[in-house]
This record gives sequence, structure tokens and C-alpha cells, in this order.
Amino acid sequence: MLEIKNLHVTVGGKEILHGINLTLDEGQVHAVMGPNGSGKSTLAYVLAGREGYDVTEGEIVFDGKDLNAMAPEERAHAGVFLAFQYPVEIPGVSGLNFLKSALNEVRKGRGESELDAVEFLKLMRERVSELKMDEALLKRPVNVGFSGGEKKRNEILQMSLLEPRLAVLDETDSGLDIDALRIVAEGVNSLRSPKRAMLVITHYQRLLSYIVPDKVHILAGGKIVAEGGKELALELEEKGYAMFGVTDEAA
Amino acid sequence: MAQATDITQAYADQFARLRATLPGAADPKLAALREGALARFARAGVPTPRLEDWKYTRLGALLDAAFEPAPPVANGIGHDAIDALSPALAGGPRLVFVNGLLRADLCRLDGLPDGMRVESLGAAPADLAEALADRDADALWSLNVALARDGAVVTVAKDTAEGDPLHIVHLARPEAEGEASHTRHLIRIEPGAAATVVESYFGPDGATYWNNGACLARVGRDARLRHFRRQQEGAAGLHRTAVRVELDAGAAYESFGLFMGGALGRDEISVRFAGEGASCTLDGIYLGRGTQHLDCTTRVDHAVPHCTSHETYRGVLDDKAHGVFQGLIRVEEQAQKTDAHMLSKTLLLSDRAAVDTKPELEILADDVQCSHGATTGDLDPAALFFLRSRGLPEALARAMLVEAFITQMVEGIGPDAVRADFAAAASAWSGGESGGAKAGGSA
Ligand SMILES: Nc1ncnc2c1ncn2[C@@H]1O[C@H](COP(=O)(O)OP(=O)(O)OP(=O)(O)O)[C@@H](O)[C@H]1O
Ligand SMILES: [Mg+2]
Repeated sequence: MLEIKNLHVTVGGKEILHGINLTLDEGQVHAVMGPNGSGKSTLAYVLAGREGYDVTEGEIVFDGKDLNAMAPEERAHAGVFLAFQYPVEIPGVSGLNFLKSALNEVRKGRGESELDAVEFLKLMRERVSELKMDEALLKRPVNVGFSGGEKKRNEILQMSLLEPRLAVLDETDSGLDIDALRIVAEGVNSLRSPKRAMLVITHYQRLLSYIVPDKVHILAGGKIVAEGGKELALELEEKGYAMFGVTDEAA
Repeated sequence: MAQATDITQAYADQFARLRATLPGAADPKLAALREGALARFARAGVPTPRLEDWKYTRLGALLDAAFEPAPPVANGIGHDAIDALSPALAGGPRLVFVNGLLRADLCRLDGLPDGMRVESLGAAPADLAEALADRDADALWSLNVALARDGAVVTVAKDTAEGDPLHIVHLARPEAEGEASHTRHLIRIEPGAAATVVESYFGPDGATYWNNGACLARVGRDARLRHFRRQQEGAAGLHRTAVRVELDAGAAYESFGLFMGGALGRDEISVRFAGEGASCTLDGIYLGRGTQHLDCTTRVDHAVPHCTSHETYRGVLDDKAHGVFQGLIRVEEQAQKTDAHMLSKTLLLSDRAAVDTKPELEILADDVQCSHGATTGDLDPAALFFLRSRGLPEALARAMLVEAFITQMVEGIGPDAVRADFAAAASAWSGGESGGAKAGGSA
């Protein structure tokens, strides 16, 4: 479903990713781990189409299409979803209006009918209660004044409403307390399906004991330096990045 | 192009022609007052960018010819048309001026709050001299004093409780090409009273007409005036209104302006604190596109201690629109414990849109809290990317962020009906929450 081939990405005139290869099939969950600054968020942004993240070499093929040629909204319509490491605050835009517009635009993009206000509210309430969120949060402007954990949960709410084909979760576990981590992981797991795939970026094995990955990729210095099964994450937790020859400097 | 002297001479001729018909003409004191004002105008002429205060705003057509007074218009517009311009305010009390002359048949005075009295300046009320005050005026204010034919004199009696907003509607007739209105209002809020006044300006798109309005507001001890202005002149209209506010001890003045019409608009507001413990908030939004030029100029004089002034202006400029924000805060030596803040934020949606901001603090007292800040920029790229990554097309995402930028100001408007009126007008400009018709950008 997703095939990243020899991907080189430049940000602000500096090459950050130096030839990434990664294949993700339908139904699979892959984890990406790596030290700070290794390029994990860069990879996430380039998948979502953020401006300023330039592919200088290689390609990203998603469901047979050249993802890099698509605008961010087209990718969203095609089923790409990024849960942001640092969710953005949008003063003046009410959470509910935003969710409704996003959902209906994505539905239109998928060739489905738009939901009316009643249908939308019903679906939204269902998802909000699954994630044990306070509905009052959504009456406020998007993410404004939310705690770190509330912002992360809000990202997962958007994911569960938009039902993407490919979800990229960028450190969704950071900033969550233990209960929230479990709730979010359950939310993610409930979306796991043979038709979907997920790329889970994290620093911690803890999340991966809830969301068990099919494969783990270790990213360091803009390259994938190791790959393996879920045990790789455990090993990493024990020994640190030094086992891949990654020094503090390279990180 | 006409010489400046030709234009001042043309206004002098106009004055000579009209003077016998102006309200209060029979009173020698008033006649002298008008003459003095005309002389002051003649000395200074129509302001040009050579004046520091007009550096960023060139009065275009006003420098090329003298504008004529309109003849009285007896028909051509009905209640329904006026209701449709401001549906949210349609049920409330209102005064309607067409080309600067009161149209009694279009006014609605039955809902006037108890304690609010409204007179027409054209009927030469007893306090005409007060209404025509011409102290520290600039040339256009003086011209207004000389030529004013009508306006509203609103008096709110001592301890009157807040009632429905009074809506003062200004319309220009479709044939208004080359015509000017010098409407003049006086609003007096007596001690302990509270009132809300909304001024709206509308006009035809095809005519180059000029609104040279002036409004003097006096707010008594512990009284409050909430003053709203919606400037939606026709596309070729020229708009310059000046508001002067005098606040007694403990008084509160709240102003909110929505400036979005005309080829050229300049809204001036000047507040003077005359008693301690008074406060004012001056808020405004200017929305420009095409080749519009919109200027917001404010001045706050802290002449006494313990007064508070807060100003927040936001602009959104697209295409080749040009915005100006000038804000002067003056704190005199004795005005200790002044709290004065001013903030201006402008969104430029196109490379060719521009804004000039000139915040100025002149502080002679030493124990004060004063600040100013100004930012100018495009929409937040992180927010734009976030919305697009959730499936919103770029034009819709932009429209949503523009609307949000404006909404953050509008939602602060107190009276429900006024908030609804201004929100609808601003939303129509930005294309609406889901429309996104025009707030797209330059890209
Ligand atoms: N605009 C930019 N100009 C230059 N370098 C940049 C720019 N943006 C990011 N970088 C650099 O790219 C590198 C990778 O950053 P990235 O955010 O992808 O790391 P990460 O793996 O997600 O780190 P973390 O674990 O801290 O989230 C960092 O060294 C960062 O400083
Ligand atoms: Mg990161």
C-alpha cells in the first residue's frame, strides 16, 4: 500500500533524510523509533505533504499513486492521516465546526455523501465517548488552551472520525498519562483492520506493548539503520541506540 | 487637476450660497461660528499627505474637486430596504439619514429607550452651538461645522438604564455622484446613564460621493456609551468620519468599528479623559480588497490620572488593498497610574496588499503601564497545513482562518443584536464559514 523508495528530503536547504526505503502493506502496523533529531517527524510531514519538505530524490507510492505530486488535502482524501507530534492551536475556529468540515470534505473526497448536523453530532458523540473525552472541549477553538494530553486525544478523535487508510502517529504517546495512553491505544487498535495500515512513531516500548507492531524500523541520522520484529523495540529499550553504532553526536 | 485654492474657493462659494438655509442661520452667534469654521478650513485646505497625520492617506478625488450638497430626497427607499441592510437590528429604534438629511418617514422611534431623547440638528435645537463645537479641529471637521445641515442630537437622561441600541443609518442616493454629506451628531450621556448607539453607512456602488461625518460624544460621570460603527459605503464612495469623545470621571466608552466599504475610508477617533477613573476600549476591524484604501486613526489623551485605554485593531487586506493604522496615546505629566495598551494585527493575503502602521506613545508621566504592539503577516502556515492535512481544500482552509481572525474580534461585541449584525457583515466579506468564495489568496 505504501512504498517509500530511496527517499531524500531537504528542509530549509539541508538534507535531513538520506535515502529511506520502507514498505508498508495493508493491515500492517510498523513502528519507527529513533533518537531526537533523527528525522522521524520529517518523514511524517513529507508523507502528509507539508510545504518546505522537499523530496529531492526517490519516491513515495501510495496505492499506486505518486503521493509527492498530491496536495495535502488530496492526500487526506486518499486516506492519509497524520497525528501531529505538536498539534496546532487554531484560535477562532470552533472544534465542532472544524471536525464537521474536515469529515465532510474527506467524505466528499471519497465520493461519499456529506453528513448533516444531526448525523455528524451522533457520530461525533460516539467517538468522543469511546475516547473518554470531555465533549465541552470541542465547543472551544481547536486545541486552544488544551492540555498536552487533551491535544493528543483530540488528534486520535480526528483519526477515528476520518477513518484513514494510512495513519501516521507521530509520538502520540508523549505527554499522555498511563490511563490516557491505554485509552488512546485502544482507540488506535479499534481502527486496526485488514484494509488499513499504520506507521507509529515513538520513543517508547510502552506504547508498543499496547499497539503491537508487525515490524520496527530504527531511524538514525536520516537513515534506517536497523529493522526487525517487535522484539527489536525491547532490545532497544534495554541497550539504547549505541547498539546501532549511533553516538550522541549522530543523534 | 484643480488647484487647492480653487477647491477652497468652491467651498466658500458653496457656503455663501447655502448659509441662509443652514440650521441656526438666524442666530448671529451660530453664523459667526460657521464662518470661523469655514475660515479655518480655507486656511488649511483639504488635507494632503504633506501633513504628518495624513502621510499615508491621499484624499484622491477630494483634492480634485469640491463636492456639492445633495438635494433632499423624498422617496426611492422604504423601510424594507433598510431592514434588509441590517436584519439583526431591524426591529429596534432607528434614525435614517439620506445624503446627510434626516428622513423622518424612515425613522422608527417607538422603541426608543425611556430616558433617551432624540432631536434633529436640522430642526435647530437649543443646543446647536454645542453640537457645532469646533475646538482643536482639523480642516475636514471645520468644513463639517461650516456646512452641516443635519444630524442627530441624542441625549440620554441621568441614570437611564441600558435599553435597545439606537441605530443611525446613513445612506447615499444612487445619483450621489459628486455629492457630499456633512452629517453631524452629538451624543450626550448624562451621569450614571448607559446607552448603545450603532452607526451604519451604506451607499451605491457606482457613484463617487463623500461622507464627511462628525460625531461628538460626551459621557458624563459614571455613565457608559457603547458606540459601534459599520462602514460599508459603496465601492466608489469616499468616507471620512471623525468621532470625538470626552469622558468624565468614572465614565466608560466602548467603541467597535467594522470598516469594509468605499474606495477610500478613514475613520478617526479621538478620546479625551477629563475625569479620573474613566476607561475606554477602541476596537476595530478593517477588511479591504481590490484597490481599497482603509485608514484607522486613533488618538487617546490621558490628561488625568487613573484612566484606562485599550485598543485592538485587526486588518485583513487582499489584492492591492492598502491599510493604515495610526494610534497615538498621549499621557500628560499629571496622568499617573495610566493604563494604556494598543495592539494592531494585520493579515496580508496578497503580495500586493500593504499596510502602514504607526503606533505612537508620548508619555510624560512616570508611573504608568503602557504598551503597543503591531504584527503584520500572512496566515499561519502551520495552521493552514494542519487544516489541509485534515482534508480541507486550500481555499476553504484559508477562508476559515481569515474568518477566525475576524471572529475573534467580533465575538467580543456585547449587545447580541449588534454582534449578529457585524458577524453577518464580516462573514459575507470573508465568504462565510463554509463558502470560502473569496478569501482565497494570492497564490
Ligand atoms: N527548517 C529546518 N531547517 C533546518 N533543519 C531543520 C528544519 N526543520 C527540521 N530540521 C532538522 O531536521 C532534523 C530532523 O528533525 P525531526 O523533527 O524530523 O526529528 P525527530 O526525529 O522527529 O526528532 P524528535 O524525536 O525530537 O521529535 C533535526 O536536526 C532538525 O533540527
Ligand atoms: Mg519528531
